[in-house]
Amino acid sequence: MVRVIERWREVGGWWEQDDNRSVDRLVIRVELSDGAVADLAWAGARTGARTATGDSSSDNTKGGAGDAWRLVGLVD
Amino acid sequence: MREAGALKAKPAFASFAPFAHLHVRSGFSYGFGTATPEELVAGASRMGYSSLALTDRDGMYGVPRFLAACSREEGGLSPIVGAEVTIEVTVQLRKPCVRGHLVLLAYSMSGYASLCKLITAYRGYRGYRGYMGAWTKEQGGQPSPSGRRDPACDLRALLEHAEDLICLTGAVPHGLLPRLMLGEGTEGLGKARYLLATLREAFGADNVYVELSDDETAGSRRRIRAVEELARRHGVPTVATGEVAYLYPEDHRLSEVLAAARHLSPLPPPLYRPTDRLYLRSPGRIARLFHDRPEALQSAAEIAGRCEGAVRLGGNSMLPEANGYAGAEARKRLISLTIRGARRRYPAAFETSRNEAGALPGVLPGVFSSQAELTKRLKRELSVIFTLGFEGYFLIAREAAEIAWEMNVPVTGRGSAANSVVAHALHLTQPEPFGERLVFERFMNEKRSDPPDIDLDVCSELRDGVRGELMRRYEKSGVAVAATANTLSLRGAVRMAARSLGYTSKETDELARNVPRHIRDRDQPDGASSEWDVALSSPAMRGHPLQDRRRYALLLELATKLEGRLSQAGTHTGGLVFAPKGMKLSEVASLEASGTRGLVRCQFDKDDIEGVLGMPKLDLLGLRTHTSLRKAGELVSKKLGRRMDPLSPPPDDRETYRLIRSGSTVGIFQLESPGQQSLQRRLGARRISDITAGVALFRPGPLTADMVTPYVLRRNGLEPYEVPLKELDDILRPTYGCLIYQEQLMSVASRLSGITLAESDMLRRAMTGGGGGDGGGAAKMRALARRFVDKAVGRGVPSEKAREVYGFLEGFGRYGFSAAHAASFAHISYATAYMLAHHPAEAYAGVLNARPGMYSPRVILNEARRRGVKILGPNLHLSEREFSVEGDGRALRVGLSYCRGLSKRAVSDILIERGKKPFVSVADLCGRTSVTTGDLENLIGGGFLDDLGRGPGLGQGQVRTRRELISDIQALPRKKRGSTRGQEEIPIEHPEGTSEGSPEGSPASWWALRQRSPVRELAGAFSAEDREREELRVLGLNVGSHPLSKGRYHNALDALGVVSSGEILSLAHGSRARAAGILESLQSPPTKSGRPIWFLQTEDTTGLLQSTIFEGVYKRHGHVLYESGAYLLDGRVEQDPRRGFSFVVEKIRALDEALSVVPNKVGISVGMGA
Repeated sequence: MVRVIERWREVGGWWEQDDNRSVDRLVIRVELSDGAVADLAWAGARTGARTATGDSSSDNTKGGAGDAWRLVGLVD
Repeated sequence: MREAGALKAKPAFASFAPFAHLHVRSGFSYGFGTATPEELVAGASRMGYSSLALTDRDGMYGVPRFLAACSREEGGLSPIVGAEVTIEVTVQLRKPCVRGHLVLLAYSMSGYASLCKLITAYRGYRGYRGYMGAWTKEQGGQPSPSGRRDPACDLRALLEHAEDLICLTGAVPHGLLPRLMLGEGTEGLGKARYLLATLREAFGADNVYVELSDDETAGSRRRIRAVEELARRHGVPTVATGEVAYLYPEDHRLSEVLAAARHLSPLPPPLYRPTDRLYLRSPGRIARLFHDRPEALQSAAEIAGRCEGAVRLGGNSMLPEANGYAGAEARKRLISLTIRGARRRYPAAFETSRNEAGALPGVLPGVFSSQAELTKRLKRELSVIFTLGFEGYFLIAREAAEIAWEMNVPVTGRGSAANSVVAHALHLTQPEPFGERLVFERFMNEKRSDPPDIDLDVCSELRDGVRGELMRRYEKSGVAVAATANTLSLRGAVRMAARSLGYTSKETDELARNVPRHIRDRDQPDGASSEWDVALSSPAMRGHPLQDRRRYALLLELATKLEGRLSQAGTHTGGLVFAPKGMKLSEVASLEASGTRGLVRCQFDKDDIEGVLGMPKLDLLGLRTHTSLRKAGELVSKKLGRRMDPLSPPPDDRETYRLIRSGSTVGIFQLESPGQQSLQRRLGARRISDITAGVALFRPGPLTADMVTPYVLRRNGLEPYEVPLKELDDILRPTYGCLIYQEQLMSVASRLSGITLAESDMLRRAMTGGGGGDGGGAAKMRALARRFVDKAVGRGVPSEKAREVYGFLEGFGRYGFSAAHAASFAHISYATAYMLAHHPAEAYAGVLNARPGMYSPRVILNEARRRGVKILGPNLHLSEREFSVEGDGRALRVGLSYCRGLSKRAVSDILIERGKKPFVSVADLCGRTSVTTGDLENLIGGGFLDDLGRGPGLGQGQVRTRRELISDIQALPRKKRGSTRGQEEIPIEHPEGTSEGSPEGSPASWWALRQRSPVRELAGAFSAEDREREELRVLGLNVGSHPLSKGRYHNALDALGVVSSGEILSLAHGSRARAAGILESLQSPPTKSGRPIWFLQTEDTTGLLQSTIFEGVYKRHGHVLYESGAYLLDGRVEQDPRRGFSFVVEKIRALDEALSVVPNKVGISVGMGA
């Protein structure tokens, strides 16, 4: 990985009956050494966000059991 | 405030300060904000912020609460006042306008005034014409409903109100500048540049900042960079903001549900952003987000420094001025009116024949002893009124009353204003203050921190006319009605959540049915972990779809979190607020169109207007009892051939008191509830002060403290009493040693300790925890007690006695009620009782036409029948629009308006056409009026058209039945209600105007039954029973007789061993009895023990019966109350000499079900099973 181009959060679709359609994750767009651009997502990013103040110093790094960076897209 | 804040220990991350959130929306940003101003202030304070802005969308609704919360916050939090203003601009001709918001912050009081005026201008103040056509003068100078729901300001109006405001260009991506430059191509970019230049010109170069906010969604950093680049090119400074819409990240769900509800769409709402980052982020989080933009953080601190604490509301300068009377002129005018009024109120005081000492031999005993006393009192009151600057307010109140008199509209005063002799002399209030021992200082005094107000009760039907004329007169300086901050009930929250989750209207109705509006703490048993545990275990929700908690888990969770959230601005239609002296109202508060044509609303809540701004409001309250009395008075005047004023009955009428003592008080103002009926039977009223005491005692506080029993026993000579000190005898003797009025507490305190009455009012407020910030903790109360006792001892009162009296005051003081308010109501109670005693048919007609009280028309009509009034059936040619009186005042005829579904226009058509010539057939009626075929079915079912069955076209003795009349309809062309205006159905409303079926605390009632009664099958035969059932469905009344009155019912009920309610009342203590009755209401009031209890009110042929249902029985049998409308009740009679009668229910059965086992059974034509 050469650099992180952008990072953002996605929280949505929580009202869907189908759990698979709800989203709650941190996404980073990275440039890989071969020039490819990929989106990687860290699911379970909310875990650290539910604090009394509504803020967390580590809400983008902590995750639940089994959480990991996953490839969620390749950008042309 | 700021100095104190600096001393407060800050959390570690406070080192990132002094960043301040400048773009913060509370729940007053209706439709997406979730937190109250108080929650935001507390949250910001916890995070270590020293200042915070409130910038609600298109409104200033929350500003007073925000300022109050900041001032209360320990250590202080400096408030910054602003608003997020939606702006609409044209980018390309013939293309939709682009909307986005700007954030405006006031850095002075002038800036605050600019903001108020701007919002007033585009939120629909009368006369303003939207530049971009949001609304036009052709629409009556009012915004359209969509214009009200989604208001927008045009750029020109914005630029006209830029004084002393700081402008931020809007959050990324929905702020105006980002919207223009990011989504509208080259033209948009050009417009964005133009916008920046224009804003700088209007607001000043130092007052415009390009806002940078990061919602942390995909592309947000790129968008920020683009906006930042534009700012750099134009040399405009940037500012970092947090763009807050909720307090905690998880609240994003609620925000999205509110947004979906606002746009009447399922989730996701329009302009949805997949983020939970619009929460109140900490200084540390903000610092990390903007670590590479220190200048933007610095700008935020600088703006906060300029704006914090700049807006302060309240003070004595907020009092209104009457038209044409300023300063000394107003005072002279008030003195003149007072003296003129006093001459009429106290003619004896102005007679020249008085003895040397000034005593007045002709004056009523107990009123006052001399002219000097009257003069002294008037001088004292006027002095306080002038000192506090209330002369203009009194003159406006008098002007309102004069308008009512000119329009022949009944008007009376209520509340503490009746303590004032000036108000009495101005004919604003009825009770005579000397005779009723009323204390002016309870109404107003120099030490009172919140403004007193005058409440006027006006006939509910004609109130709008009075209000409209008063508002027209004060339109120039500004007048508006107050807003109310409406919050979601649990039932409303279920509706909102269900709609946003995509349930259909029918499913939503089903899910919200019988859900309690609120779960009260007292209903929460120890084992219940959530309010849904309580709600779903209620018999009312047996078999409810929400019992499937797994399936509806998300809905239940959302509803729980939504309950109590701010949902929309309501209108306090009677509370008028006027411009302070020398100012325009729109400079003090933002105004908007209320939704009612021509009615301007102040965005501030009614309580905030008084409590925070210190502006007195004038309440013109619509009172249905006045409507009822007016209508009855008109009928009596017609009968007598001379004008009769129902509000001025002869005093001390024996028949009137006899009626009140009998407890048959249905229809009497304030005395008709079952508890009051019982109290009046025991109290034995013989003078107006007894009624006043009854009104004051029948309140939750005195009831739970059981103050009623000793009063009743002493009143009837069954319990000895003595006053604590003989010096207090004249104060406490009239209430038999009981302290039931706040005015008594003040008099006792003043008499004993020598403090002024103004100081004693402070003591009263401290004891009762009253407003004005005078309520205190235990330490303050101890200090007060010490001061009281010391002063009393200093005046020669033994210390022990002084302590005893203080304990007495403290014990009863918290439950005291204003004698002035109670006396005002007592006069109206007496007037309604007089009408019922002497003109029952007219009085009941008034009650049935105005529906002022708690009982259904069915019960009122049956009550009239029980009192000997004949009930005449509906008749197409004889019925008037409303109930009318016939037979020389001995009979009532059902009005056309009681026909279900019949529009106002159809009623008018019938009245006009029958005047020309009688109707001869169903086809004739249909052809000559706007009556639809559906209406015809109801008119026939209700019995209105029985005349047509005996019409001139028929042979001798030939009668067409209702069924045959209905068959005539089949031959007519189908005629439905068109879209023609004026076709509104005449609503048979619940008195409280609830729209969700049943009234609060009464999950099953007549009102609910009428709403739910099934549509009749027309093919059914019209047996006597069917006719009765059909009349009930159409009219909601039992015209012919009571449903339980016929012989066959009696036989069946006798077979079941049923005892009538009239007999049960006189059974001995401990007797077991079985009652049968039709549901009237079910209530669950607070109790002393805190344990839930239900009062079921049923009616049979002999009258009403109130039964008591305890928790265990309710849990076992309560579901029957919701499944049926007529019951068989097994219970036991309790006759307590102290508490009176009660019927304690042990078993409840549906009456239809019980009758089904009786031979020759019949059905009861009432209830959901009907």
